[in-house]
Amino acid sequence: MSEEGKQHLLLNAGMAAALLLVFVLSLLWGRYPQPGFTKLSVLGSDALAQSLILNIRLPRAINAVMLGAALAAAGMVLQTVLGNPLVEPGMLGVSQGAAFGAALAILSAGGRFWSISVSATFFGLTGLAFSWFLARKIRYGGSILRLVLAGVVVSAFFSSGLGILKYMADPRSELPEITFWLMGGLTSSDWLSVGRTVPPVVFSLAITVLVRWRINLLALDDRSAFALGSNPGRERLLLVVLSVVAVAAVTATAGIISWVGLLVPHVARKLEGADTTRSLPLAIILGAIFVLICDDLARGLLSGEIPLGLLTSLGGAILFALLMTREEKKLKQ
Amino acid sequence: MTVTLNNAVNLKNLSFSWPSANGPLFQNVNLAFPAGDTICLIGPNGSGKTTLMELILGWRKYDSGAITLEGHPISLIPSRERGQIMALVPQDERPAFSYSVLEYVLLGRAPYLPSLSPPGKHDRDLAFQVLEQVGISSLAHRPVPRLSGGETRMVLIARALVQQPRIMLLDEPANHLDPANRERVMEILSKLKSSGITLIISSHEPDIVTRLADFVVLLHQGRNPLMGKSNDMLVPDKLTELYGVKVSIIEAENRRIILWGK
Repeated sequence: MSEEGKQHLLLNAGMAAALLLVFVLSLLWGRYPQPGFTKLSVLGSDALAQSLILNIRLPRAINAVMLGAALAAAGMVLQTVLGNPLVEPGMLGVSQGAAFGAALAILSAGGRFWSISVSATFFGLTGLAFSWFLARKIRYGGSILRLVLAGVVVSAFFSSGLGILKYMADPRSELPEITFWLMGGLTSSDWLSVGRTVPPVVFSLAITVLVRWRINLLALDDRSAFALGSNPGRERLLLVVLSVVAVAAVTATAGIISWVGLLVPHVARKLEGADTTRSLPLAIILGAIFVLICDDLARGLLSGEIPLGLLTSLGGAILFALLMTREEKKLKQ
Repeated sequence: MTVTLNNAVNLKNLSFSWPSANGPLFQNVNLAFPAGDTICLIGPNGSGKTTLMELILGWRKYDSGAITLEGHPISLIPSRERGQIMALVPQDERPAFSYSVLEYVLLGRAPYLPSLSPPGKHDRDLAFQVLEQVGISSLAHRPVPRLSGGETRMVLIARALVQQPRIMLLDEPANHLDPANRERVMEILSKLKSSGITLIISSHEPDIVTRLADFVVLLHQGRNPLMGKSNDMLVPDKLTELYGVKVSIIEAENRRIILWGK
């Protein structure tokens, strides 16, 4: 094996081991019986602690892994196939559509979990479909610019709709629920929600990872991809839909979690290079680790729950700023 | 209709017009490019050189007529197979991400790889061999976006060669290059020519690429393309008519040199 290949293997094995370690530690971390890590000796005798780990922390950790993996993979895929390093799943109208759908469910169906989940997924996909059709009608720019522009328009449309819903919401009961959902969090995680997030996320990630080398072709302009025997329109649509399916599934459970889809792909590319054969699997692992750690802080740092979306934004923004300024230095050399 | 197998590309009664244009760009065009020859498409800016290439590539849909590759209608050839027969060297390409030269060149293996497999050892060996052939093996691990214009052109040629095509379309391969890089490109192209690949080269400057041409196609704006043997086409009155400036030709050191203007 080449020197480069060995390095690559070592990095991935190291990251996978780190994910496993963080996962196990997350199960032991919390505020029962006292803040901090639950001691293994306590675990043997405390039935409540056992039940807590099995029924609350474990499903929540699994959801955190799904959430991070789905957002990071979708970010990597969308950035690559749209040839734009600043795209994240929030664009293309998906997140705003899902947010609108969730608010609508809270207002009209009393905020039962399944209604939020179905409505958010439905409007997330509707947002994508609107963006896609609008992009075909725009008479300006290349196909990618048109899609991003259409995404901006559709996002604005849904966010004003969301504004109206918030204005109409009951400020004592519904508005706080909408607001908390918009900030995002995994508080509602139980085994039922795991059953709803795992299948779509695993399905979408499995296919995406299997075709990961061909994703690179779509980073080229369409004519070049076509000359290389690809069908850029069809392959791009397939990858975007796969990403949205995974993002909609985790968004329905966790609300709007920003920055993960933007930040993690950049870090992965920095470590492994642009080739998605290597950077995509790494992004998935890094996304899972990042969200797991953020969620551990969200539920364990203070006696009350901190919204997860706030922590990912805060951590993401700081890391991103560091990354950008370091890149700057490198370029100056 | 005679479909001769030794034609790499055949255009039969081909018509194409831009949706917004008044008249058609091409109307009932008939052209046959023999396999193994080098064909240069010559014409002023906007005369349809790139469009003609894109039609041959199958990227643009024409209004009527037919295009065949090695005797098969282009629309019926599966995309992978098409990618094995024909490669495109675009004028320029700037990827948004920092792919290394090696990773970028390996994309040329796409027509040969099943959807689920990344390139293997055989593909990498071939890529290194081509980088050597084009003279850029020292750049293998450099990021493509930081290359100079000349280096990028070599990378694009290398990517097309990794496709192991029988037909190569080159869009303005010598454009915007300094003399040294231009000569490097010409040297590579002349080696390719002697290896038997059909080369279809577009250029708005007839001086350079026509050194290699067996056939020249003159693309007049608003008139049908005219194809003939290189020596019959690169003559003062035809070029004067094509470009609308006075042209004279002198011969020196076994080369035809085109003098523009009076």
